[in-house]
Order: sequence, then C-alpha cells, then structure tokens
Amino acid sequence: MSERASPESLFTADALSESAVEAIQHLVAANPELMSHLRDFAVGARPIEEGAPNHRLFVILEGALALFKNLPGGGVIEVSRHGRGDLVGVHSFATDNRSFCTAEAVEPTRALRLGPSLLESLPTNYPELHRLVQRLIVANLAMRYRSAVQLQVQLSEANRELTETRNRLIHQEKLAVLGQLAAGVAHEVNNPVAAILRHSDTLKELLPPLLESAAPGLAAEFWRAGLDSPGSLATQREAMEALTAAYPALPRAALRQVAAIPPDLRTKVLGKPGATSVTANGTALIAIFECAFLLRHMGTGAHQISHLVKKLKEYARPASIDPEVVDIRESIEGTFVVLNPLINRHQLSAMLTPGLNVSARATSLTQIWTNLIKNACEAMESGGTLSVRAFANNGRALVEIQDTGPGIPEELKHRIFEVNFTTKTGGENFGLGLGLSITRSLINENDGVLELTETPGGGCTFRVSFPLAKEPAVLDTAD
Amino acid sequence: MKPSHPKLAILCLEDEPAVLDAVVRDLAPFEELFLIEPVESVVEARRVISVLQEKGVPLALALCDHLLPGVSGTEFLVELNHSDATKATRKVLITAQAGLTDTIRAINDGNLNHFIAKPWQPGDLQKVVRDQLTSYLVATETNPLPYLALLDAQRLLEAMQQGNTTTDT
Repeated sequence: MSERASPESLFTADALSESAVEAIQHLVAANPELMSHLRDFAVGARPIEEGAPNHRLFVILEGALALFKNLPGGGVIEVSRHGRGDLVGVHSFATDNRSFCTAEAVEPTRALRLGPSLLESLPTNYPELHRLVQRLIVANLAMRYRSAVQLQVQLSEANRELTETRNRLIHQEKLAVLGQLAAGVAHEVNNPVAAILRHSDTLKELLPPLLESAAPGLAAEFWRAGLDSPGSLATQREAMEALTAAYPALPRAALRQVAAIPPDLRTKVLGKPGATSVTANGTALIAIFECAFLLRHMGTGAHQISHLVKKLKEYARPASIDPEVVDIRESIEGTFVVLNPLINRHQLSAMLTPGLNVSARATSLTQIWTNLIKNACEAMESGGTLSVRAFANNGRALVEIQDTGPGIPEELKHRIFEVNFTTKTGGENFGLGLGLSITRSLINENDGVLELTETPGGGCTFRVSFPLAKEPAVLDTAD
Repeated sequence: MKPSHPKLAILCLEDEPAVLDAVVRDLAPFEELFLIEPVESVVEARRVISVLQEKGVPLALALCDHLLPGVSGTEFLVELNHSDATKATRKVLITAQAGLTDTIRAINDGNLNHFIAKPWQPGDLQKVVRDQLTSYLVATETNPLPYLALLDAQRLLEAMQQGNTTTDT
C-alpha cells in the first residue's frame, strides 16, 4: 500500500459494543472450546483481502482493524476504522461476494473469528452468542447506512465548491480571451481612424483655396459657417417653413439645404422672396457650405470612435496583478463609456465626487461596476433611472448603485450572493456580467465591503465601500 | 411644373444629428412630392404629427430608429399603429440595435413593414422608401398619377387597372 488517506470516520464504541465484548468474554470463559476461535493479529496482518472471497465474521475484542480500498486511479484510501465490539466482514459474508475492502490490523488486535462451521452451530450450541451476533450485524449495517448518507452530504458540498471554482476559472478564461480580442480590434480600428482624422484635416487646408475660385469673396464666409455647429433642429424647421412660404417656386430639397445656413448668409444665396431660382453663385455657395458641414461631421464621428476605442482598450486590458491607486470617478466613467448601449435605455443620474482615491486592482473595479450596473439595468425594463453616486464618508470611498426596478424580495435578500443563484430566465444578455458571488469576492479581495441597503421608494441599492488611499492617483488626461 | 404643397408626409425619427442628416439627404429625391419631417425625439414627433393633422397632411411613412432617449422607436410605432389617423402609415425601423423581443413587438403590435439595419447601403434606403410609399398609395387608394415618375409605376398602374383607385378630389 503506497498511499493512505486519513480515515473518513472512526466508529466509536457504544453500549452495544461494550456489552457485546463483555458477553463474548463471558461465553469464552464458560466454554473453553471457543478459545480456539480467538485470533490475534499483529499490526499489518490482514484477515480479509480486497477482492478475495470471505466467509468469516470477526468480532473485535481488543485493538483495531482498518478497512482499505484501492482507488481506480492508483493509491489506497482508508475507508473506516473499527475497534472494540465492532463486527468486520459483514458485507462480503452476508452477500457471499468477494470482499469490498481489505481489513488490516492497525494495532495489535484480538478478535473472535466466526467461521462457517462455528456459525452453523451457533443456534443450537451457543444461542446467546447467536442472538448477539445477529444484533451486531443489524447494528453494523445501520451504521454503514448512516455513514453512507453523511458521505453523500459531504460529497454534495465538495461538488458545490468545485462547481463554483470551475465556473470562476472558466469565466476568467473567457474574460481574458475577450480582452485580447477587444484589444486587437481596438488596435486595428485605431489605424484607419487616425488616417480619417489626418486626411480630414488635410482636406480642410486644401479645399478653401480651390473653393475660392468657385465663389470669389464669399467662399471663405460660407466655409467657416459650415464648420460651425449647426443650429437646433427646431430652428431649422422654422426656417424651412418660412423659406417654403417665401420661395414657393424653389425646389424644397434646395430650401432644406439653405435652412441649415445661418440667416444672414441666406440672402446671398436666394435673392428676393418669390425668386424662381437661386442667385448666380448660389449653387456653388451652398455646395461650399455643405463641404465644410460634412467635413465637420466626419471629424466628430472619427473623434467619437477614437474615444470609444481608447476606453474599450482600457476596459479590456489583461487583469491587473497588483493594486494601484485609482480615482473612483475615472474608473466609473470609463465603465459608462463602454456600457453606454446598455445604459442609454434608461435615465442616468451620476454624481461622482472627483479625487476619491483607493488602492485596488483597476480591472477588478471595472468588473465590479460592470456587474452592478448591468444588474441594475436588467432589473428595470425600459425607462427607469440608474443612479450612481460616489462620495467620501469617514475615511472611506462609498459608491452606491441604485435602480428603480421592483427591488429584491425580503426572503431572497440573503440568497442573492449564492453561487448559481439567478432570477434571470433568458432573453438578451450582454455577456459581460459576473455573478454577485464573484463580485463580492472581487470586492473583498480589494479590501472593500459590499452591502445591499434599503431603498426608500422601491428598487434596489448596492453599496460598495473601500478605504481611501493616502496617495493621489496618476490621472490619464491625454485623449 | 412644380405641384402645389405636398399632400403626404414622411417622418424621420433619429436622435443622432449626423445620422438624421444622412437620412434626410438620402430622401432628397422625394422632397418635391412629400413633406419631409426630421425629428430627434418621440415628443417632437408627436407634436409634428398633430401639426400635420391640423394641416390635413396624412403621414405616409415613418422611418424610426429604435434606441432613443425616453420612449423607444418601437413603442412609438406601436402608438402609431393604435391610432386611427396613423394606422395606415407605413412603418420602418432603421436601427443598429434592436433585440429580438423589441423586433417581435414592432412586428406584432406595431405592424412593422420593413427593417433596415444600420449602416445601410447607398441606394437601399431609397429603394425601401420608394417601395413603401407605393404600398401606401395602393392601400389607401390614393390617386397615383402625380407619383408615377417617382415611385413604382408598374405596381401603381396594375393597382389602378384592378380598380383599386379613385380619382383625385
């Protein structure tokens, strides 16, 4: 036997066992021929071998026998240990099978050996012993049953822990892969976006001199007007109504373009009310305005992409190994950018105090906000308000994430942190979130505390708190 | 010869100004015969629709994004479908993001006629608009003659031959 596991259970002596031993000793004393059925086993002796047929029962009078089982993958495990008054060999004896285990003496042991011939003669010759053996057999089987049930319970617990660990590892693996993909995509997007921005800028320099020749003297004004922010849609609609009334002979599509041009420049394009065509260089001027307008839109769009990519790269970077000093507001706002598609179905109320520094792993924080925000959003159908507040209190940084959903029923409040507990039955899933149990682990690992707090007016509020760090954070101000 | 004030309207509902601008640009060929109404929110859309009703201009087509601040595009289309005045309006979603649940709602409760995914191919939008406006004219038995050059003349004429049109009042 190369390996031994520690005993799963130690069968302790009880009243039956003690009285059994006493009774047997008494019987042996009264019937000296029974002495030939006593056996002494030195440490290491094996009265029963696993796999061999066994037709004997042993009642231990002194010492201890341990049962060992060979494991399928190699090695040996100690199943149980038996002492004074215990019966060994019942299973194989009663079912006439080969022995399930090996019985080995772990102490010097004396036992009463009940072989087939003795057992056959028990009812007639030793009726008291017969009754005693029967009671011992029943007690032995009952005990085995109890221990089997206990083992089931332990196994179930072990399985649960294993499942939780496995889920967590799979999830981390998924996040790592996702992070790599996102970083790769982000990098590849950056190159074309940089080209767009650069070329837009070049066009802004190249075009104006060219356009000057199309409408001398006025081109520059219209170009600048096009680069400015457009008016609101409401003012454009009013302008459109006025223009269609004043110039019924002009095509509406052209009037719509003119409606976007500032009022003081419009007369240079349209001429007097009632005109049947635009002015001589009106078409050119509208086109000049449009060129600038479109370039402006392109630039804005490219900047938006660039910003989103930057935030995505930060969000998806490999897990931080070491804690660093993080500004809570920056961390949460970065998460807002990436989760925008999820958040903008609802109202967002964000009150984030700047300068709240904590020492934590930056990527863990991101995952924590992601999960809590995602849960909050999913608790509300469409509409509703997501409130995120970050403030200092008593040397700690507090973050509260609140939704206006149905809230968590009283009876479920202590269960929500359990592994695999969920009330979500399907539907859309952004696939970014973690279970609350993992979120809580992440918070605890970073010296934080997670609580579910009361939400007057309904809904649900999670509060995360971290100790404030003494050092200031290194802020990323480049954009 | 330019016709008088357009008798039918097209509503464009989109909260991203750059995208709304692009949609309206694509609709330029329809500007002469249809009143194009760009709006950035459902609240604005409702106001514009009631102004159109006062002016007696039916809404032939509503092009909506789904993801909007406040009421969603899908919910708005459901509203239109439940109102007598806009029940016949052709309803199209142009969107980058509408999940299965919302799309099912748009189809079943909003009577959605077409779904365009963003970004759309050049020409695709105009093709869909042409097609939907044709269907509107056929369904409402509107005199198709002024629209033959702009829309699907073949379908309009076929419908006319089958006696599905009345003369203009």
